Amino acid sequence: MSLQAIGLTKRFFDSKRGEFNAVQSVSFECSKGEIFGLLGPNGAGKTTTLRMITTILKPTEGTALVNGFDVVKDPRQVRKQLGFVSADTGLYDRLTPREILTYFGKLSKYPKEKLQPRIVEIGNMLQMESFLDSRCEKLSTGMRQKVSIARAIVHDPPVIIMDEPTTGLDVLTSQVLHRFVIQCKEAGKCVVFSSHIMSEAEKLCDRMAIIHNGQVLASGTLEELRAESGMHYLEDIFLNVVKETVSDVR
Amino acid sequence: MTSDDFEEIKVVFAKDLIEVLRDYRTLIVMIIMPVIIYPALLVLPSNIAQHVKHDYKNKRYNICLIGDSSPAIEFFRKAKVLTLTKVLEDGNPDKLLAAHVADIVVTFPQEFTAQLQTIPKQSPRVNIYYDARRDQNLLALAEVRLVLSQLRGKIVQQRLDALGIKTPQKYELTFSELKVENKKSLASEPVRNLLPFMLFTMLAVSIIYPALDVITGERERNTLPLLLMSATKRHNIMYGKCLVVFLFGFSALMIGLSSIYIFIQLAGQRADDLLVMKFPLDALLMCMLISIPLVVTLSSLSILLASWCKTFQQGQGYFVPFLFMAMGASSVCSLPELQLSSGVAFIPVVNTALSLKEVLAGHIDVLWLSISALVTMIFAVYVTYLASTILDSERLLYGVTDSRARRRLSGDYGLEIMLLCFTTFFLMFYVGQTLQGWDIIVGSLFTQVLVILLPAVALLKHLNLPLVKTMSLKAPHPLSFLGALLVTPLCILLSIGVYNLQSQIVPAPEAFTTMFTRLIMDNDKPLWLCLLGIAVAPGICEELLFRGAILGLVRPKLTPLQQCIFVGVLFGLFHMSVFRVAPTGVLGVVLTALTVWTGSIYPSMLVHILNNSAAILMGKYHLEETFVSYWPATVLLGLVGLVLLIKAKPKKSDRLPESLGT
Repeated sequence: MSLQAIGLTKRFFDSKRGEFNAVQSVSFECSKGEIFGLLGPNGAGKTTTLRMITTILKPTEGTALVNGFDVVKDPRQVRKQLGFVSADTGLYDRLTPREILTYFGKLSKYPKEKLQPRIVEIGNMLQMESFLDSRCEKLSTGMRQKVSIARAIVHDPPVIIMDEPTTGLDVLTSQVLHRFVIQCKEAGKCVVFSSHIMSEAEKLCDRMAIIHNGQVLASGTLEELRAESGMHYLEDIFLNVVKETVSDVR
Repeated sequence: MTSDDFEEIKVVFAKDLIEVLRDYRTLIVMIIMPVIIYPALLVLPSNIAQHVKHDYKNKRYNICLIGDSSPAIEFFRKAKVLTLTKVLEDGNPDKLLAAHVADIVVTFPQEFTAQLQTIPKQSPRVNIYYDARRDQNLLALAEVRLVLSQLRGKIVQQRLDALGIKTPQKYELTFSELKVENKKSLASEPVRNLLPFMLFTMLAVSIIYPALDVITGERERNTLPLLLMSATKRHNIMYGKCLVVFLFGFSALMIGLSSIYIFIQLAGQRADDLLVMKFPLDALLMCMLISIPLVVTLSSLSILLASWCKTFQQGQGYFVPFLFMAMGASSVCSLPELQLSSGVAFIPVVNTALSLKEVLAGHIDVLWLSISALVTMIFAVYVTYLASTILDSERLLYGVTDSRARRRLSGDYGLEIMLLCFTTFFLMFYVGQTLQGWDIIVGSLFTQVLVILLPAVALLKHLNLPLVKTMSLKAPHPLSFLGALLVTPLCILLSIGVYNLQSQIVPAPEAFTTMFTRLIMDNDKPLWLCLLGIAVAPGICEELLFRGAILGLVRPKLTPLQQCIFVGVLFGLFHMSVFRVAPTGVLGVVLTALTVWTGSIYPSMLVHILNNSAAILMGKYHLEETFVSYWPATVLLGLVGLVLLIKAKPKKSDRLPESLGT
């Protein structure tokens, strides 16, 4: 298994709400050549879960294994296995995409002689040739997101984590991104894809988990979820699952 | 450090260098300010002062004489800086001054000439009027006084001649003004006084922007998480960034110093003048060389500070006090008594300021300069490493914190320890010094109880921690007492040895070495009270603070070795003297180890009380040399004591608990 989340829990504290679990005992698995969707509304705990997997946040309880490396015990090795794409991560505005990709390629110890050909390859794949040498401050949102994706995969990681990567993108750029996700799957990568857009998940994900209030409420393939809920559309299934929890709580 | 580490540092350095160079703000702080503003700040005040002095020298003052001034007129006409504008028989001096007819008015009695012929009952009165609000008039006043004294001299001579008295032969003394200049001095005095301040200011200003840009900027632009998700080691990221800040700081300093050099060559040289700005090429090169440790230190400190900031705006706020502190540190250069070859060589920032001062004055002591540079480098490496531990703080990245209760439950009492230390140090400084100033022995007794013991107990009570368990207030194995007793002479010998060793490197001034003896000898208190105030009270109260409260609070998080070092170092620093840090620190480590080993605070209390008592008695009866001469017996006793302590090792269940519970 390329990625295993085992009972991941993250406790937060703020003066108004007091202590609360942003993520509670979240477990899932994702294999090579699989796209796993993490679906949930805003504030469900998707980003926190992914931040724990990417070693940026330390789990309060539980752990995750990335290609066999433990995020708590061996975070540096975990980082070598990962590529992370998010809508809200920034770029170095004063650098060009080529410089950014070279920087992260070198930081990830990607072989020097292969780095420039790799950048050209990714540039072609994501249709970035025209702005590869323009400073990022001059790029549009879509272009920037492409740079973000390129940066995440420049070192050719076996596990790719995408946190709502299509947020704010137009249809055309989203289309490029979707194609890229499928290419990753075909290349045998393990892809974890978080989203609150159900149609996107329906189209891309092999398996998925619905997360709400920090807990996984349902998981499986689309067919399994349909069978379990008796509903056809993922949006209906999602609303049904979430509604049940809300009424349970009441 | 492996080649991989160097490669990582190089990659981060190269990227940040390009990024910072592409920002126009960098050019302002790195080039425009050093080229124009700093040299102007250094040279212009001096040039203005020179012009003012020149004006003072060449200015002539208008003088007006009222009354019978005929005996004095010739003297006033001869005066160099005075121009006699009016001679009146009668007039109002205030009106003349107000109308700017004269800068100074001298009034003589109406029958002054006649009065001089006889010896009047009352001395003739000559009044001088001037506007005291104008400083320049003081020069005119001095000149008028000089003229009047010449007049008086002539009158006296005339009278002596009239009486037929010959004045004794005058001995003429020839004065020549010789300028005593230190030939070794690299720069003239105004430059030596101003340059350290300029250097510190230049440097602090020039590193603020790059430091904030490469660290806080990454945090604010949300690029930091990506960097932290890479497999690069955190400290290598920081070293790379620190190198960029260093390069910018050093470049700005080089440009600034070179501009100052050129400015002084073009505008600063004035021969035979006290305000001469002499800054030759060798001084420039030495300044560049000696400022390297300074740049390294301030770069690492700025990196640490920038790591704490969430936003650029917050960073700018934090950097204002940093700038003032840097400028304040340069003030040590104006302390004439402070030299590099004392304890200050080990204090980062201050040592580099002093190095600069000494080098510019021509005192180049290679040993101390090297020690100072080495200390600075180690300090900078450590500070940068420390900054790397803050870089991925969840609190700073995403505002994630634990509740206070949860933090304490996990045994994290860092904030509480900091609060306790700050409170105790603060009270020691203000309340303790006041009490001891009132009465050194009784004051010390009160200080121990009120300043040292009370805050520690109050904090533990506030935290609802059990005092007995936290402070290790439990009876130890009886052999532990005997072991501690036998180990005490060895502890004393160790303290003396460390103090002597430290004195080889950092010689304490005589005032310090005799201070303790004078403290005992010069007071009229009975010996038992001295022992109570300086030995027993500290032995109990300081132990309850350090080996009790602080050790209890760090126990859940640190290993026994870390506990000993942390509490020992804190104990050394608590004594607030550079010359006592090492011996008291080592003693602190030993006392902590004793508490950790025996599971009880009482053996360390015993050793502490005996150690302080021995210091008093040795000081009073001059027994130190005798004591040291018995070192073989001391070592033997110590070894026996250690064996007893090993034998008395408590069972696992009796050892100090890690968790404190409430």
